[in-house]
Amino acid sequence: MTEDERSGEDAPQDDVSKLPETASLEEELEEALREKDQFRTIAQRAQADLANYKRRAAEEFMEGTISAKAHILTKLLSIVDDLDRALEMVPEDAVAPGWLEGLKLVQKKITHVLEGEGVSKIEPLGQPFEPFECEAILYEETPGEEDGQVVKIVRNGYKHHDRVLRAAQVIVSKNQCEQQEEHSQSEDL
Amino acid sequence: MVKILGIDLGTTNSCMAIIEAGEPRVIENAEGARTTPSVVGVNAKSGERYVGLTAKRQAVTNPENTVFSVKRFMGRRYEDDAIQGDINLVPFKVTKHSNNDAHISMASKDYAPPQISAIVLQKLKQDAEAKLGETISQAVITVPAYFNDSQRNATKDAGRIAGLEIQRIINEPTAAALAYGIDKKKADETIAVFDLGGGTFDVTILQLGEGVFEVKATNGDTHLGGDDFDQRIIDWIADEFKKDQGIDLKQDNMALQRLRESAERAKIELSTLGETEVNLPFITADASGPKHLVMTLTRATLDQLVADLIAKVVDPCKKALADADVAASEIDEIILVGGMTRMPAVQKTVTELFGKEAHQGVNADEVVAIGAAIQAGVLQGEVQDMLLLDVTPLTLGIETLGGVTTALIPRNTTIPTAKSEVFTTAADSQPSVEVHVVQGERPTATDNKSIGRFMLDGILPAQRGTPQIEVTFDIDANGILNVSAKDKGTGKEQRITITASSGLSKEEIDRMVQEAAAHSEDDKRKQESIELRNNADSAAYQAEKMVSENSDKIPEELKEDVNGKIMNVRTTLQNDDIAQTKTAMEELQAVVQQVGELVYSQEASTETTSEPPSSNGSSDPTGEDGENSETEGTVEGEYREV
Repeated sequence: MTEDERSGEDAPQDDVSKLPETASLEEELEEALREKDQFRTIAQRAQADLANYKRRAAEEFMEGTISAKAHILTKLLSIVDDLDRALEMVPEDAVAPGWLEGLKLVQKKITHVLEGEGVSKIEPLGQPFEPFECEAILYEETPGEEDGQVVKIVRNGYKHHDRVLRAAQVIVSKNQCEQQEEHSQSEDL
Repeated sequence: MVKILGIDLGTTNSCMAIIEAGEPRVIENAEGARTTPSVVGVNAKSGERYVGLTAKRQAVTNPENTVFSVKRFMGRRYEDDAIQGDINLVPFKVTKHSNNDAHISMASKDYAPPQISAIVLQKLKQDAEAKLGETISQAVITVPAYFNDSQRNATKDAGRIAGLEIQRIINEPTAAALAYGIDKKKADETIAVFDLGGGTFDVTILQLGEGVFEVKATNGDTHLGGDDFDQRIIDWIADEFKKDQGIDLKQDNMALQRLRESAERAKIELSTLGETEVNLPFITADASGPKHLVMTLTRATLDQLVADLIAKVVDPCKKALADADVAASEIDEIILVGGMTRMPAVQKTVTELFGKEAHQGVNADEVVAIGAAIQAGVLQGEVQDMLLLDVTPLTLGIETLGGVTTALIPRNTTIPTAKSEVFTTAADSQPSVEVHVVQGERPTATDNKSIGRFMLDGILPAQRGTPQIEVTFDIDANGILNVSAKDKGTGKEQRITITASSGLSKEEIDRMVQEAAAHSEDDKRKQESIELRNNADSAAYQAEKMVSENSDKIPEELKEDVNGKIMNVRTTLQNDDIAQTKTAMEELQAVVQQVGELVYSQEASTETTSEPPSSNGSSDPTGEDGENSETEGTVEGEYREV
């Protein structure tokens, strides 16, 4: 075999050998690019997850702090109720005035402490009953009152900032005449 | 990724959960509660709709338009015996629809039961969306095992009406079993799920085979639950009070309300306590003045009061076993569901019935929702992470003064991670520090595995506690640990790379963790003694420094006293007598305080800035290197090889 022949033979051989090499390089590149995209997606997702997690963790921490506080405050409220009841029931002549005054100061102090913690009393008396802040425990015939009004607070309700700590337990007025009137009106319609 | 909500749509209460980062989590509703009453109300006048707690709160004023227990009516014919029985128990109107189904009338409008359930589902969906900040359009809902096809379809319809695509309806007992991870066990098992909730009791025998649950039998009592138990306590308290005071509290609605709340609280407390006090001051009043209710309820009394209610669970359990054709002894696992299963007498009955202890998680009220969320997680095919994140199996740290392990990366930290802390020298003019890297859970370095050590030298002569040596641990994703120590003063740095930082088999790791637990008491004592030694040493050093710095201001007599006390501390340290060291240190501290006061009183007028005597613990110097201050966070940037 002459040199020329050999080189002649070599030339196409080179082409043939280069092609698959290029092809495999291209394949590798493609694979690498695909992988790069995949990893970028994972990294982005991980970053987003972390950002979301951080936000949620911060929110949950706040939420946890508030609910832990609310939990203790709610427990304290039952004692406040008892004190309120005691002071409602006390016959004025039964105790020395100074003693009663002292007890009222204790009540005032507790109210002050609660207010300092962001606790406020719900004041639904005379308002139309709504169940977001009140719990109806009695629906009672109340002459001279519109139907569905809060006519008595049985147990005070409290809010802690914007959240209802404990709904007020109330008595709601029932006005049969008004109800019947409405009923007949709706039937007429 | 689309999130699928798991919902336990209960007769009395509903609960929802979701899978987040591979873990199920109960989602609180808008009011901040983990369960939502399955109650819906419509104001006939305004047409306003109430769901959950608000619906419950207005029920008294609007009984005929407030629907509860709608689950009992789902997919039922009006003529069904169960419906005919329930009609008399509910204040709302149940009607017969043209297709013979039971419908409910609210504010003069006809509702199919799925429509009412849909209102509850809609609230759950909205609250979950608000909490998670994304749209929820798919759900897995649980139903009792005894629900037939039409009841299951009705539940699906409810989901559809609420705008939820129901991916799967699963049985409540199956969900509970999933929540306990029982499906992951390799062996085929027979499981009993005992569910005593607020208003219903169900017992189900499940057969687990190749990861699939099959309901073998189910039984129960549709009207037995926590409310019945509460009522017994209310009756008892009211009766006792009547006997004692002659006043019937049940006639006084306001007193009854307080009684109801106290009864439930007492019941809950008696699950963990032997006795509880029902304390209701000013419960009522008569001509003689205010009356208080104070009573002690013991667990034994409660058990007597509800004995017949508890007895009611026995028959259904026996029937379920008979129907499933298995003996009690063949039950492999028992799962408790529902708040009432926290009651010890209920648990005892279950144990007696099945002859073994039952599984009980922390939150029996939430297991069904959690199981639904797990099923939802399976359906949404929790993304397969390409990057498998590993954790460090054991704590990594360095040895500090007195042979104490100071942890830098605690066990179970997800890697890659980095952490650095600043340490200091333990002796004056210390020229070098040795960084000894250890792995393990024990507080004493020698009890842990030593995985590498190196020296950082060239530290400029300085008083102990002054040089700042920053030690950084950096583990890459392959678990390769790089430890570097850098003198912040000179910028000199030394580092070591520890490959295969664990090198421990799983057994070794388990053993080390167990050993740490077993020795925790011993270790604590040892560590305390080292700490005491370090503190005493530091106290002596500080006192010496103080005396030499203020030599002119301290009378000779006091100086001698301090020096004597210093000697004393050092002698006891040498003798390795902990008790004496403690006493000697306390004595030294007392006299040092005198010196301090004296020096300050002399300096008060001139307001010199000489360094006050620092407290013993502040420098906490270490043998090779001591912990001085902590800097949190990762260390970034280039390290220079020295």
